[in-house]
Amino acid sequence: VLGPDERDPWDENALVRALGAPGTPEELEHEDEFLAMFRAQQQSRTARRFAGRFGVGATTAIASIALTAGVAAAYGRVLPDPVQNFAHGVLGTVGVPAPEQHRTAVSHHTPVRVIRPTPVATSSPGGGPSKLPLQPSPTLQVPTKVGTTGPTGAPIPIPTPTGGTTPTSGPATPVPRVPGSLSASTATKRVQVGSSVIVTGTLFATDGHPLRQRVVRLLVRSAGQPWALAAAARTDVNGNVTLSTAALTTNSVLRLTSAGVHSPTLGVVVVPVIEGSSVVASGLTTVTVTVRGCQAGDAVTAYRHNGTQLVQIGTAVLDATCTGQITVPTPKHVLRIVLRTAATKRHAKAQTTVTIGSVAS
Amino acid sequence: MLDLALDRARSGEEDGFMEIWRTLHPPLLRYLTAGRNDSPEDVASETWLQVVRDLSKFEGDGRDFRAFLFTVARNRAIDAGRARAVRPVIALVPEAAERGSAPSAESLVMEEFSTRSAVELVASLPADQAELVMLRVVAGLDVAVVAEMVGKKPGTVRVGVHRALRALSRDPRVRASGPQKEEVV
Repeated sequence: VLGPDERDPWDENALVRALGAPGTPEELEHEDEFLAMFRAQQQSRTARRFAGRFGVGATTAIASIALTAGVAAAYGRVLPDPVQNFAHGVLGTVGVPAPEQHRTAVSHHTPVRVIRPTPVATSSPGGGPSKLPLQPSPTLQVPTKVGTTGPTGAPIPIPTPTGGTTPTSGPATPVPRVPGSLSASTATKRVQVGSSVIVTGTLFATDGHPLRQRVVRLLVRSAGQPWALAAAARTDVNGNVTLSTAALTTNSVLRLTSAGVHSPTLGVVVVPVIEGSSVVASGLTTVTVTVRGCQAGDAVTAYRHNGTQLVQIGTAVLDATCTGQITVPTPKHVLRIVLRTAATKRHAKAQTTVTIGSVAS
Repeated sequence: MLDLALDRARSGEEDGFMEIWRTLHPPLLRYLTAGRNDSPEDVASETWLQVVRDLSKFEGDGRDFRAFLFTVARNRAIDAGRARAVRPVIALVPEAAERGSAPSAESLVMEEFSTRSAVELVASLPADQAELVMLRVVAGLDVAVVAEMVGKKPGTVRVGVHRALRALSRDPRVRASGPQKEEVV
């Protein structure tokens, strides 16, 4: 996370990597409460904007209406939409619904959810005043919405897919389900360099039901790098989602995430591809090795069979283009040599066979 | 990416705000934890409350927003420190090292040094040095921004961070999780 001026010396430092690691589930566990805080603030802004537009008199009048006979009208949703909307914004915590356009799919007799304070140490020897910003209070009571919320805090109806299993009849609002677990799997954990990996997963609510139409993100972390977004999609009616990475060039860890719920991580090892060619000159054979998926500085070692085991005959260190050369005495007969690169943090080991000698040259 | 999320959040979109929160809440908690606040979650909540309140008036890009968030957090932490009576510091308990019998593909690329241990290690530094490290490394703020926040010269910040990281890198836990072993496949 260091800036460009200081990043390089510490980029691979274990401490720096650990400090900059992605958020843990524990760190992100109160997501819903912060979202509720944001919603409450948006609703408050909407109410203030309305008050500013129509003036204090109108606001007072509406408040009077709402507090007297208007309360019944507001409950009965017979006020004009802007007024109903404002009444909903101001009196939403006591159950006044929003205007008509949102009524078809969303009931407004929504439960009131109180923002819970984050856990704190209960013992305070000094007995000093608490600095908790999220003390339960009427101003922080927000009605729980179904579905997403638009810029003004108004609920957006979620269309029910045809053939869906969720009951749609009746005015009762279903209790919104919260993601509880997210599974992830891949068909393979070992791919050739340049290949992508398909990850499938299923998102479940805390009550075990699959969650549909939820955004699930595929995150990829290459060796020494932070998590990066690779793809995103919505779950289907069964809570399933299928996502694909881009072409992988180094060992990577993958995981799915949705609304603060993370799947277990999946490690994928990338296997480099070694290509070799030979040229004979002055009794010497030069084997040029190119490795896709390696780094500058990686070594490629050449071996020959002596009948019972492999014997090392040369080593090349790859340059910036991942190319190296190994020069050996030209054998009198055709000889198959094995080129190998060892596994590193960034890739698996790999090998290939190259033929050198009179026929090959 | 934070710039787009910030624009969406300013226009009231929840997804935008949650993207910002998921990105910045973990580093915020780590910063406050390393600062020896006895209740970093409380200070973080107070920070976000103020940030959400002022979000519509905020002008700037994602980088400016980071600075804004951590400046608010720093002020809230100072306020909390002044207001509370003397309280015991709750020491973090380092997680047990998770070591398998053989390195898996995951372990080759996953962090072996836990974030919690790292924060604990930084917290062992002198307070001002720990804050510099957290603001630079965890919050990702520029040297100039950090220097302005803490009232030091940019050069002092740069050198302070470098020395702190160098000192911490000598810790056996950091050294143990340094070079990776070769994979056996």
